[in-house]
Amino acid sequence: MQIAFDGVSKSFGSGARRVVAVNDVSFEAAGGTVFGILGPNGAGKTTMIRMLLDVFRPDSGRIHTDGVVNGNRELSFRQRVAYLPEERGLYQKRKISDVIHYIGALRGMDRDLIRTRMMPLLERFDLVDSLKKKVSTLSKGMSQKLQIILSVIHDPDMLIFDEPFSGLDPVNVRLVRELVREHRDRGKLVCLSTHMMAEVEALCDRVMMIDHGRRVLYGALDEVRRANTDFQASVNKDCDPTGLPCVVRVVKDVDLNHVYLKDGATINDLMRELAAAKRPVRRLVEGMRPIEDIFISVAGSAADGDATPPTKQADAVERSL
Amino acid sequence: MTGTIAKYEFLFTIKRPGYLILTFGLPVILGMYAGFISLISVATAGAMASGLSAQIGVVDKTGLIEAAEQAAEEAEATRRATEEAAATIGADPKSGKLKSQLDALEAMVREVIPDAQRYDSLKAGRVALEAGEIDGLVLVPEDYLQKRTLDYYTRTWQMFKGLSAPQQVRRQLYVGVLERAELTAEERAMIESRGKGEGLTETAYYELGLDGKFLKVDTLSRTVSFVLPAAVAGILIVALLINAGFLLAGVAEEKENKVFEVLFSMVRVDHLLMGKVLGLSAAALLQLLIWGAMILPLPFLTFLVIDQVVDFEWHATSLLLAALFFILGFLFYGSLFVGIGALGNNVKESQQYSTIIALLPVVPMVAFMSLLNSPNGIVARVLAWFPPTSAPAMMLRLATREVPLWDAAVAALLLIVGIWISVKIAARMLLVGGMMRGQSPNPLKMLRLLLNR
Ligand SMILES: Nc1ncnc2c1ncn2[C@@H]1O[C@H](COP(=O)(O)OP(=O)(O)O)[C@@H](O)[C@H]1O
Ligand SMILES: [Mg+2]
Repeated sequence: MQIAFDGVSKSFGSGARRVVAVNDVSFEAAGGTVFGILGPNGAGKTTMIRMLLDVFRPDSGRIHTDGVVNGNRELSFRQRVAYLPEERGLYQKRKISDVIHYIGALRGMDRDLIRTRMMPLLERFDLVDSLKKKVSTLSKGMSQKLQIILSVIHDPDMLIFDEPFSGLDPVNVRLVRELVREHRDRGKLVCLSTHMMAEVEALCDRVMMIDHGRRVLYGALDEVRRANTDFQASVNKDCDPTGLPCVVRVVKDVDLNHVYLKDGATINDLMRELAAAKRPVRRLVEGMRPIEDIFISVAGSAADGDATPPTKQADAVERSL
Repeated sequence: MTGTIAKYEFLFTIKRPGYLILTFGLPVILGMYAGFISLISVATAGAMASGLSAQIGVVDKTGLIEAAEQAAEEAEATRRATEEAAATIGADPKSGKLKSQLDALEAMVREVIPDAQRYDSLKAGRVALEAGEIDGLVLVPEDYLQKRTLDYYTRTWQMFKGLSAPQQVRRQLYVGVLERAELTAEERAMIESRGKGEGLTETAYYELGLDGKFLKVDTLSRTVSFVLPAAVAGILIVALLINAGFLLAGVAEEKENKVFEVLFSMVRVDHLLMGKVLGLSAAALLQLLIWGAMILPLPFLTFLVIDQVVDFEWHATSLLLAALFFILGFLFYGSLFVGIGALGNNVKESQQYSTIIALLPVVPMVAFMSLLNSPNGIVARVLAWFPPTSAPAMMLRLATREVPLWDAAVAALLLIVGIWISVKIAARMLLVGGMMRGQSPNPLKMLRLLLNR
């Protein structure tokens, strides 16, 4: 499955109360990747997802699925998608097996198919014993699991998870991560929106950061991080490379020392010089700022000035792609 | 502390748009209904009057009516003479005994004024009736004075229509009888005491059968088959109110549990709602059936009795059509209730909005008489083709058996279109309202948002 936004915009309200939720956003994402839509609260992530699912229609721009314009309006598209909304709930007064069968039937599955898909999922998520219980009797963690199962019961080609980790307990966070990776490895496209940056680094292959409805960063996660980093290497905290020939400057961070190298110098040079100087190296990595820092500096600078000019770093990424 | 809470709660509640809209909107809408109903009543009054005073013809084989007319002419002459005499002697014709004398004469004249078409033979009268020149034909048979029975011929017998025709003739006959027949003073007093010819005369009703022959009408059985649809329409209204609860709760369940957004991603919202309307209405209809079955002995016995005593007339087409409109009406009002469920903030508010809808099917019941009297008149058609009043109006109209099939087909089609439109609108409201995160949906905001998805 492959999706693309092409200059999509969407605003709500009118006059003074008009809010441009999504502003001329373009991107592409294809199967076999985990695509992260990042941004602070109110950035427009949920609105984008709702447009993808044809809950809202864009004011302008186009949405393609598998190269087909407005392909997302077809029932066949819906049948191939799993959706875990940000605000998620379940029928409280119905039995769990009933809910699973109802959702499965809406997904176009017959009872046998539902049963064969359901059992391994239930076993894996430790829900088999609860099958005959009412949803309202489940604990919060359990009902989160059930929602996750329900979203993928029809073996979708694409997973759309909106803030999947918010409100999840650590066990379920792990389960969701596994589920996401597993689907990615099976060639499915996973789109997840989040404002939790740690999860992005752990999961996403490609990211798009939006702020005030505009795209400010976009590309492969490592590329984005590299392009937004001005130091070339990092070493463990108790190792200070200051004074080495290839080093210009060292900046101390919380758990690492970031190293700026002279023009033309490489990590190999640093490694050699560190060894020669017998500095206590236990860790030496390519310079890459955590996405959280990038997020804050990009979102902050975008919020400072006008939202229109993309930041220097963002520009760099755009060009590098 | 309690005071603070009370004040806060009070202010919070009365500032809610839903509260304001209900408080001021409900009376406006009820006023509109009242206006609508008065309009119908006004429009109906004409139809009703024309229904009651249908153009009739009379065949008099006894000469009694002629006698009555002569008597009336004499009375008129007497009245004029009396007036003139009063004028010459300067007496006030508007006072005392003189006035009551004059009034009595005038009343008699008024009653006997013939506005009926006269025919010499029953055959000629029937021809005129079949040709539609008159709506009813009263035959005063030769043996009237012995049997005291009038025959009343119509194309189709109806409960209210043209009932006054034989009544009018009866009064004339009454006058004629008093004039002509040789009666003892006692007999005369007895007849007069029964007043205006009531009880003096029976009427036998005939209508034109399918085979072109006039058949005697069993009025009791026909009355039952007339009243029954009205009763069924009444049941429809009660059933609707019960179903309303189901539908509102059905929508509220998903709203409260936040299941809608997942469902939206799987199915189209209008399909979702149509499914809800169909499913929940089917459940409610089943409930009605079960309740019917549980008290089955009762209707069954009643039916048996009715069938024995009055030879109840089943009219298959009308019955099937009535059932169709019952179901369609159920679905239509159901779709409106779903829309209301989508609109309301909470169950209580939805319930209040739903009274507006629950009153809709009552409107045609107000026009009951008009619908039965002129089932193909303007009022009847408007009410039957306008989806919000269609089902009960059609059920009443069908009772008359005079509704052409194409007319019923149009009404059914419009009702189905109405269901479709109503579900579409409800879906739109739900889609927009459901996504409105935290903002309380109210009709005005909805209307604005409906226009841009
Ligand atoms: N249905 C709606 N009606 C009006 N405004 C909306 C609606 N949905 C979202 N918005 C506005 O659009 C902006 C983006 O919202 P959203 O897409 O939910 O952000 P995110 O998911 O990134 O937190 C916000 O300013 C929000 O208030
Ligand atoms: Mg969101």
